Amino acid sequence: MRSVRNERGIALAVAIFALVVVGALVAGSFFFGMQEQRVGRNSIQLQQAFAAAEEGANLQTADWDSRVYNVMAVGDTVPFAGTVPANGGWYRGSVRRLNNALYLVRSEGFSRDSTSRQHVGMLVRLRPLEINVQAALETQGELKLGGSSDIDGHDTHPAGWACGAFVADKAGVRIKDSTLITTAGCGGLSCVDGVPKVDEDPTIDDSTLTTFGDVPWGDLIGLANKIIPTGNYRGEPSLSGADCNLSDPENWGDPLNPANPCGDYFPVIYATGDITINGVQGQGILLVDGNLDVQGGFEFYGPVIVRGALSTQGTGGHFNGGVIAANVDLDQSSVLGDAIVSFSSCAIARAIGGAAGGARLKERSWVNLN
Amino acid sequence: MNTRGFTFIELLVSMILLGVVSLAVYQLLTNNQRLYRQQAERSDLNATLRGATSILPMELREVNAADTMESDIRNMTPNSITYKAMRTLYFACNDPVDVGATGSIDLWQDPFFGGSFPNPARDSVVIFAEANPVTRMDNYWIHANVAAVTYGVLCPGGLPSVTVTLSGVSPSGGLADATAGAPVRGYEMLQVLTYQDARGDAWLGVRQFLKGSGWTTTQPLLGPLAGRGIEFTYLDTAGVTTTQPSQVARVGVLVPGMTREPVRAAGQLQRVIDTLSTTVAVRNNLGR
Repeated sequence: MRSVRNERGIALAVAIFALVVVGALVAGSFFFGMQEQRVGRNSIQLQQAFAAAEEGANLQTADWDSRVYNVMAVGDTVPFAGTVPANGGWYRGSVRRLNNALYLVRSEGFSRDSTSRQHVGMLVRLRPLEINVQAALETQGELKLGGSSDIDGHDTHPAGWACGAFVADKAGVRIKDSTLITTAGCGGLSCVDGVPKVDEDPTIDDSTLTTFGDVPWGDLIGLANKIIPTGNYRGEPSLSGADCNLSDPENWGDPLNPANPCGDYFPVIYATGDITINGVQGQGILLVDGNLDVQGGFEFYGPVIVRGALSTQGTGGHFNGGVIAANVDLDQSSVLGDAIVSFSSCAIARAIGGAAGGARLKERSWVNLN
Repeated sequence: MNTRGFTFIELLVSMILLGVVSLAVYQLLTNNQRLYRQQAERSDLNATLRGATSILPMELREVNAADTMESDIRNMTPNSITYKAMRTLYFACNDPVDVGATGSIDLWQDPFFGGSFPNPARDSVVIFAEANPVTRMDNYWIHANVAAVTYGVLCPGGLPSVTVTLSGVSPSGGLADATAGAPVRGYEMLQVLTYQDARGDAWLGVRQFLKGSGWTTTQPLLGPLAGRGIEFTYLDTAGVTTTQPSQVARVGVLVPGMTREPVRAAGQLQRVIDTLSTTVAVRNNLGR
């Protein structure tokens, strides 16, 4: 009788050994495949996080929120966050004020699945607008004054505004050729006051009136955050809930009520063509690429630059700051009716300070903060 | 019956079978080992290429080649580049003290970005100069050597400060144009270059300049590389090759990676070469 124990072989051992070897081979291949895949995926995620960080920094600079950032105290920070379109990751960061002119925008970018992080910074400077107002009303073309209009180059502060010291008084009218002034009911330029009343400056030309500091007209309108087409406007503050409604094209701030929600809103308003204003109030910088017709006692605080003709009628308009008619084809600037044009260094400073945009430093603005 | 053994034939057949199986297993193991080594070599090669296209852009991106005072690119050849490598960002907490070509500046200890405060043995700084505050077109960066560093509480409110004593201020008197809050970038002088190891392989290496002792020993960054190693091309804003550091707007990087050991490829045992190229746009050149 055969013993069962004597029928043992090595087939099982060989099979197991072969399986182990084949398994090791497959596992080795998988290991390298997985490694390459992981490294490749990490590279993509790192790039995604980097792009998100850059988007955060670039967007904060491009869409500079002057209402928030321009009034921050030195050393303060304001956080921001957002997502990259098309599920391309997200970012968070902060804007820190370094001194009166400089800011650091820090942006941390994350990949879509938040497994990669990159950190970049952007050094930003307020882009100064040097609107050098040298008279209450400045023009290079014909000027017709009349009615009970009043043009005053003495520095005045808007009622209820917190202002600094008065600056030296300016001319009432600054014009290229004083013989271009005609009057109707303003004999002897009795409706003009200032130091001097009329400043004749033959050097005034298009470039004088269309370049403001280092910002030419084209760049100035690029700073506009309220662009309005040809038409009739009223100019009246409005609210969205308890907040100032910035999306309302007719909301140009609330200068008559500086403590109200729109009291610190100083838009740069750019009219692309002729506009007529018959209404209430506004503040900031008003840029008109055409003719400006004002009536109804409209009050504006800040510099007004008109590339065409300025005309006021009826109860006219009240301009507190300065008006520059930087015309190309100006036929005539008519300040008639009850129009008042007053020089106000405070209104100009607040408007410019509130409207200045942020721009990357000329050099070395980009910082790798990783 | 229990004492019965194998016949000679049985033993012979079993040994032959065992030999065949062992040979097969040996070949399997050998192939496996070769494949493993090949994959490891290729993986290393990929890592070299990836490393080059990750490290170099990160380094070169921050360069300001067109600095109006002095270009950050100090020397450039097809196989090496010497540049000011920005490492840290500080902020002045007080107006700097201007003494012509010397002076000092107090920096906030918090916040600052980067690994450490300035090291006089290695670092220099560039300081933002405002000049006329009503325009940004005259802004520039002052270059200065870090001569000494002292720690104190000189920042407003008695907060911790780092006072950096400066020498070689360029332009002389420029510190008068800088103000509190000004950004200060700390940098070290670096050279990225191709060198050969003892085996004759090209490698990408890096060395830093120490003010007292000159260039340090070259440290390997990545490799090995084929041929003459990494190749830089320097392009201006029009995409034309330039030899002027101040004209550089983009740097092209060609990385010819090579495996450390020969691997079997296309039926031959050889060192595999793979090439990757990238272009880095320097981000801090003069803009508007």
